[in-house]
Amino acid sequence: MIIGRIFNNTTLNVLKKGIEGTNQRHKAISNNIANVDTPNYQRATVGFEDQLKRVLRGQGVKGVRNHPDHFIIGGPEEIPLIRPRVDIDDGTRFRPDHNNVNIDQEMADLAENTQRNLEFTELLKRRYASMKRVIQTAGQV
Amino acid sequence: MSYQISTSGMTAQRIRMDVISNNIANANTMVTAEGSPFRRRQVLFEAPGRTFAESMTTARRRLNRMIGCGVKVQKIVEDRSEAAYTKIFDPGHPFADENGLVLRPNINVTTEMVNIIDASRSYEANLTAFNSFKKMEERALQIGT
Repeated sequence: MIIGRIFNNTTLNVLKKGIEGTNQRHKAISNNIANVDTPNYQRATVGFEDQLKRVLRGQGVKGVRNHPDHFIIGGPEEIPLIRPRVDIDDGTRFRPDHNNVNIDQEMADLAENTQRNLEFTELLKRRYASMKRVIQTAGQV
Repeated sequence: MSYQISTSGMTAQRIRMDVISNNIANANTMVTAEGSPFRRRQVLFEAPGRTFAESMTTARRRLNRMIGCGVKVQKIVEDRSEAAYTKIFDPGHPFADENGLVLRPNINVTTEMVNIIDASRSYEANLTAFNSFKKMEERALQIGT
């Protein structure tokens, strides 16, 4: 019960969701890069930050829960339920073969996304380390 | 999954390089098994799981299908048009016709060289994506240590 409450906090959930989202986005960017020479291919993008932002700022509808079986609508409890969203970019025209992958843009996105994933991982690692320290030292007082 | 995506890209570009190398090697092949000069070959790529019909029928929730699963060499095609052959005047050549013209393979070595650079750079881009994912996984394994 107490362990459940320790590990189910908003910071950890946000970081986990960040890692999940960046992993998913990495897949999309890799696929865009692999298909740079495929005619008619349209690039995929992944978004999850806006959903996180909306939940963290308490925007949108929030459902009142007075029973554990109630659906979670809005609020920080919704974070683990967020699904990264995949969109197909069919609005831009870039080349005569209807492929809209801009390799420079994809490589820049790849670098940024990788870095962001490493940041989330590092933060999660530090968070666990500090939790471990608290648990260990609390008993020594 | 991410590894397979990047690997499929590297494989596809490698096949493209093989085909281009073959074109360059045969830039002066005047006769092939079918009797005509060598015809230029090209690689056609396709994105499996990402055709229009498929993406319409696939439920939007199924993330991996939407992102796709890499790239695939659909087929290798030959440029079959007769007009593409270059004609040169060389009456002494064994394959010259009655007007002294010889059909040469429709290969422009410069174009092929440019394409091979393109393929090689695309290969590197896929390799970069591969290595990025390797780094991300490596760090993820260190969580909790």
